[in-house]
Formats: sequence, structure tokens, C-alpha cells
Amino acid sequence: MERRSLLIIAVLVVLLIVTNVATYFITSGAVTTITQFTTVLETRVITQTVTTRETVTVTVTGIPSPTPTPTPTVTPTPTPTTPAHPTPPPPIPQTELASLFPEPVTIVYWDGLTGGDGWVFDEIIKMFHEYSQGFVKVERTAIGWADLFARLVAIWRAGDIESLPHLLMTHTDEIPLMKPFLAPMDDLLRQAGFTKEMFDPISWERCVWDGKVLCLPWDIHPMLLYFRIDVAQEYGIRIPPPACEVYNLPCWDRPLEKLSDVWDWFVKEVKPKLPANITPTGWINGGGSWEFWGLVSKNVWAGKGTDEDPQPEFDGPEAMEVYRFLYEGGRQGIIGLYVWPDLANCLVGGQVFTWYHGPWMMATFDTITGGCPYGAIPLLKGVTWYQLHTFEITVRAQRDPKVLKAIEVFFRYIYQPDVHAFWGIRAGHVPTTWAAQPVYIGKAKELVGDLASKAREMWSFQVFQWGGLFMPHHPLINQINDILNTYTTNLVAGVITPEEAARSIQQEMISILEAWRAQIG
Amino acid sequence: MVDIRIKNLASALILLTPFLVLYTIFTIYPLAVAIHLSLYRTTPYGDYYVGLDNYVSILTGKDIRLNIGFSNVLVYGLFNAITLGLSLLVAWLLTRSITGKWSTVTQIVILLPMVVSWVSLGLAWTTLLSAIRNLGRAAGVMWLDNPLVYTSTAKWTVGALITWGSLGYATLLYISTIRSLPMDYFEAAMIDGASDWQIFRHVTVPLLKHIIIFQLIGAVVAAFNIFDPVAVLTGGGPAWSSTSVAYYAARQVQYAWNVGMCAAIGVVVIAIVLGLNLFQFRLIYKRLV
Repeated sequence: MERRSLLIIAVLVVLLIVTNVATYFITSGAVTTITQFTTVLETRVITQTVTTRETVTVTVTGIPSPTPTPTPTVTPTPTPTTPAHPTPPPPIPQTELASLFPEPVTIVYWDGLTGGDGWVFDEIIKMFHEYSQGFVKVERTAIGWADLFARLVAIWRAGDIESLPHLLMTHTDEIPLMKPFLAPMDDLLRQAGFTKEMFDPISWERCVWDGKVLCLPWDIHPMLLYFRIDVAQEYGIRIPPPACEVYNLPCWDRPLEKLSDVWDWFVKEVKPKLPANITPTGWINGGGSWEFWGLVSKNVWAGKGTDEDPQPEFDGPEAMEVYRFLYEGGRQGIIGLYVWPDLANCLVGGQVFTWYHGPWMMATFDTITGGCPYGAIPLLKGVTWYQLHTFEITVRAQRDPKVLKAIEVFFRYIYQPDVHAFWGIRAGHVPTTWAAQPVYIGKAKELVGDLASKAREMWSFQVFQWGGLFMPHHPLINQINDILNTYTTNLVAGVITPEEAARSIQQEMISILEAWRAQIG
Repeated sequence: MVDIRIKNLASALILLTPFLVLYTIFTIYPLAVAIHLSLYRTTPYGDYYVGLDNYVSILTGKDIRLNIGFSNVLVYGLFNAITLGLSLLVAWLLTRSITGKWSTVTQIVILLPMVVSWVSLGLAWTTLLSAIRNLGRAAGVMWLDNPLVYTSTAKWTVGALITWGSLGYATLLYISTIRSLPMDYFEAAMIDGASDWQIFRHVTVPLLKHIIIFQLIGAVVAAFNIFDPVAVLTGGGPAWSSTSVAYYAARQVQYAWNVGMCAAIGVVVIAIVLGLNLFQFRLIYKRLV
């Protein structure tokens, strides 16, 4: 063979090995599909300059809960109350674990936390393993949300129960999809000593289906408008209250309680003061459904009906308001379209001033070396969209009493106020147990620093004091959001008008609903 | 005579049996299951018989996203065809004009994307396009933007990635084919005073016509199956503008757990591809041979 051909082959083989090994190391551990790959890698690209992650030791017992000033009333309902609430049961004493588990038990656990909050949950599992001394092990696998449900349903439909995980963390939106293979948790929770009074009532209520408790609420989280503090300072942009007071910045004339308030702030204050190369706010192309729910002032899926028996109103005045906001925002250069990692990078890099997104981004922003001076502005009184992370057990776990006991041990460890608060603070979510919330308030500064704790304060107190709505519960939720993703992007891009969007979205929603009713009943 | 024929037939069947068994298990059976599934609306709770509803939905263009996927077959097919044209030209240049160490370097550059996975290629492009936008913004050059963000440019960017990623394989194929052509034709053309371009146009291309036509039809068929570049670069977006038929079908399972619809799309694609292959068979083997 010619020397030249040999040289070409050798170079290609080396490059093949190098690129594929590099790809493996970049994505190892959490990648099973291409779509999941991009989700994981986007997060890693953001944090590629981080050298170490902070390790925080949380003392398990004996920490007094400081009295917060001001005393928060954290509730998703408009009427704040501060009733007395029992504390979740303490962890089982370590000395008893040996007798409970003569042989080690492994809990197979899946979730979709492939971002910064996933890293925090890894830390919690590590803390649990230090406590459980090998008697109970939690084997965590993080899978992208879309793949998670597809995989679970495929396993269930194939009848392969033993391939199901024992324990899941998902959202309450997906309960309708997963109900066939979820086991009720009533007995487990009674055995473990958990009662509904320990949880905020809205979260608990979302977990009761057909009279049975199908999930255990872990955290609740609405979306937030992040902003760059340094950009606001440099260009003299006034920030809406209460964020302006918290960050000690000049105040805009009113809080952003309605969508029209948001529009006014962007048009009259932000855009005129920003230079041309900084976009006032960003929108993820292809990912606008969550943002839509966060901006619409009504559950337009249910309309005059219910989530389960809806009468969609995606052409109603509430939805039209959002469509016009997006269309005019794109047309007037207020809202810029970005792919996901660009938007996170741009906010971090200062080329986008604000970004409306979930609280999980805090866990990622907090790890940026050199810091990312972000703040948070609560949006929309009474209508901010909420989401719940919840734990579920599957029918596979139900068959094995030892695993159920192990799950009880796990729950009693992670729901103790200090650990639950640790999750809330570090991962950017609000713990759903009343007992964790004062700890959450008291320890935020210690765990994440002064600036980052302010974002937690803005979102967890202010947004909850304002109250909000939940995502619709329907098996078609993913298709509903797919339709919304399409049209919100097209609105911002100016490809369709608000009227066209309203007509098309309503038609598509009715169409999928009718097909569902005709085919499924 | 008849006994000999029967005996020959029996021998043939015996020899074909391993292939027929494997073909039945891995091709016929899955196809039969897919056709069966395509008649159902699958859900996590169970399967609901819907008859031909899925096919009606596909053929009447009920879902705009699938329509976009089918229309993108033409776009991605076009890029596949461009790839073939480019690869033929590059192969010709590498075998004739570019020689010595430059030939080695060129071959490595052309063949490099072939050995890199689509995931890595897509990641590299995503990073590069984002960086271009960021540099533009930092320099105040606002028109320098990320084409992945816009519905008008996203699919063309995916097409460009497909061309870049596929060029190597097609070039390799043509290089080996050109080198296997009888030299007599080229020598005769050179003796007659033909230029390189004239030799390429009047000798090389006609000698390769079978492969070119075969690959052109293959390019259109392959356009139905584009998945990796779409998934990595755009996720089918923005607003489904860059989706492919295969990607849409996969999303039916991921997001809607509508395996029946996914199967129906597969059956429709098989029918289209079968038609294309029959056309190719007639074109190549009946008319050009």
C-alpha cells in the first residue's frame, strides 16, 4: 500500500479515537440520546471554567432556626397565613439501620435533573450515603425529561416491571401520563410519619389523585425574570420594586404585576437606555411554552372547563395579550431569539439584559468562576406559573417491602429541614415543607452568598406572596407545549401575526383534544 | 427435466434459508408489527384502534409540523445532491490535479468529518455559530447573527452541516470508482487533445452515470431519514422549521407516546422509498444498461 494512503488512514484513525473519546468524557454519565446530550453539554459549556464545586456540610441535628426578619409568609395562595405545622419525622437513628437492613438495599432512582439542580441532588445523595453507611444505597440516573417519560412508558407497555426504577422525581404535570405504573404512597407515608399538614396545602393537593396520594411534594418553583445588576448600574436602568430595594438600585415606578407593566418597563425604561448590542430580553427559540404559561393570566387550556375536561381559550383576550406582547416585542427589538445555551451565555456575558426562566438556572449561574452578578425580578401578580417537583414510587417498588423501607429511610433523611432547605437554597427551588422554610431563609446567605441569596428571597417570598397558577394537568400536556413552542417562536420572529397565532393555536388545540376524545374517550 | 428443476429449486431454497430466516425476523416481522401499530393510537394506558386515521392525518396534512418535515425532504435532498456533485468534483481533482503532499492534506481535510460523530460535528457548529454571534455583538456588528435562531435560515444551516459531514464518504466512493475506470478511455482522450474539464465532462461523468444516478436517488431517500444533524443542531426548531420526517416521527414517541403515528409515518416513508427504488431500477437497469 502506498505510504501516502497509510499516512491518511493513520491520521484518520487517530482523529477518530480522539474525537470520540473527547465526546465520551464531555458527556459521560448522563447521556443516552442526542437531545439529552445537548441539554447536558449546554450546561457544561456554561461552567467550563469552574475548577471546584463548593462542598457544604449541613449539620443534621440541633441547628436552631433563626427568626427571619421580615417573617415571611410563603404560600402560593393570595391569602397569606402562618399556621403551626408539624415537622417531618427525623431520620432513623444510624444505630438502627443495621438491624433494619441485614443486607444492603439499593433504591433505583431516576429523575430529569440534568442541569445545575442535578449536581445539588448528587450532593444530597452523597450526604445520605454518609448517613446510611452502606445499608441503603441510592443509585441515581438523570435522563432528559422527554426521554424519561418515553422510556418509562415504553418499559411499562412492554410489561418489563423489573426495568422500572423504584423511585422517581418528576413534575405533577406528568402524573396523568405515569399513573398506570405509579403506586399509591399512602401506606408508605403513614408508616414513615409524613402527614399533609407538614406540606403547604397547594403542593399536597396536587399530589392527590382519585383519593390517593400518588406523589410526595419536594419543591415548588415559578419562573423569574433574571437581570444583570452591573448592566442596570452601568446604564442607569431603574428596576421595578421590590427588587430595586433588595438590590439597592433606583426604583421604577411600579412592580411588574401585569403584562402591561412588563411592556411599559421594557419600552419606556430598558430599551431607551440600553446600547444597541445588548438585547433587553431573550426568548428561547423553540422553547417558549413555559414562558407563555408564565405570562398568561388565566388557565387558557381549561378555559371555562377543567384541566381534565377543558374548553380551550387560546384565542381569548388573555392569550391575545401574550401574543401581542411577543409579536411587538420581537418587532421592536425588545425580545431577541436565542438558542438555549446562547441565552444563558449571553446573560452571563452581559449581552442580554434580562431572561425569564426557571429558578434552576441559579444553581448554574452560582458556579460561574468570577461570578455572574445576576438579580431576579418577580413577575405578574397572581398568575406566575408554578411547577412542582415530586417523588413517586413505582409498582416495582411496591412489590418489595425492603425497598419501601429503604425509601422511607431516604425520605426521612432528605425531608429533615436542614437538608430540604439545602436543596432549596442551592438548587434554586422552594422546599414544600413548612419546617424547611425558616431554615431556608436563615441559611441562604451562608450557603450561596449575599447576592445569590437575594435572588432566592425575591422569588421565594415575593412571588409566593403574590400567588400563582399551575400548569394544566392533561396527558396531552407535551403536545400542548409543542404547539405553543412553535407559535411563540414564530410570533417573536414576526413570521405570523397575533391574530393568525390565536386562530392557529386554538384550531390545533381543539384538533388534538377532539382526536383524543374520539380515540380515547 | 422437471425433476432437475425441482431439485435445483430445492437446493436454492435450502441455501437461501438462512437469509430468508434473518430477513423475516429483522425486516418482514418488524414491518408487519409497524403496520399493525399504525392502526392504533397508543397511550400509556393502552392502545386504541383508530383504523386508518393516522394515515388520513398524514396524507391530508393535518399536522403542520409533519408537512414541514416532508417539505424539508426536498431541502435536505438538495443538499445531499450538492454533496454528490461536490464530492465528484473533489474526487476528480484529487485523482488528477492535486498531487503530492497537497493531495494528502486535502484528503485528510475532506475525509475528517467522516470519522467524527454527528453529535460532535453538531456541537462544534453550535459553538462556532454562537461564537460568531457573540463576536458580532461585542464588535457592534449587529447583522452578524446565529442562523440557527431564525426560521428562514435554520434548515439551510442544517443542510450545510449535512453537506460538510457527508462530503468525505461520497468523495471516497468516487475516488475508488474513478481509479477503477479503464485508463484506455482517458489515454485516448488525452491523445485527442482533450482538456481536463473535457475529459471530466465527456469521459468520466458518462462512465460514472450509473453510480451518480444510484446515489442521486439514494440522496433523496436519505433525506427522509435525516435525524442526527437536526437533533443536535436545532432540535427541529426554531418553531419546527428545520424538522425532518424522521425527527418528527421520533418526537411523536417522545412527547406524545403516539407510537402508532410514528409507525404510520414509517410505513408511508417505506412506500415512498419503494416507489423511488422501483423508478431507479427501471431507470438504471432497464434504460441505461
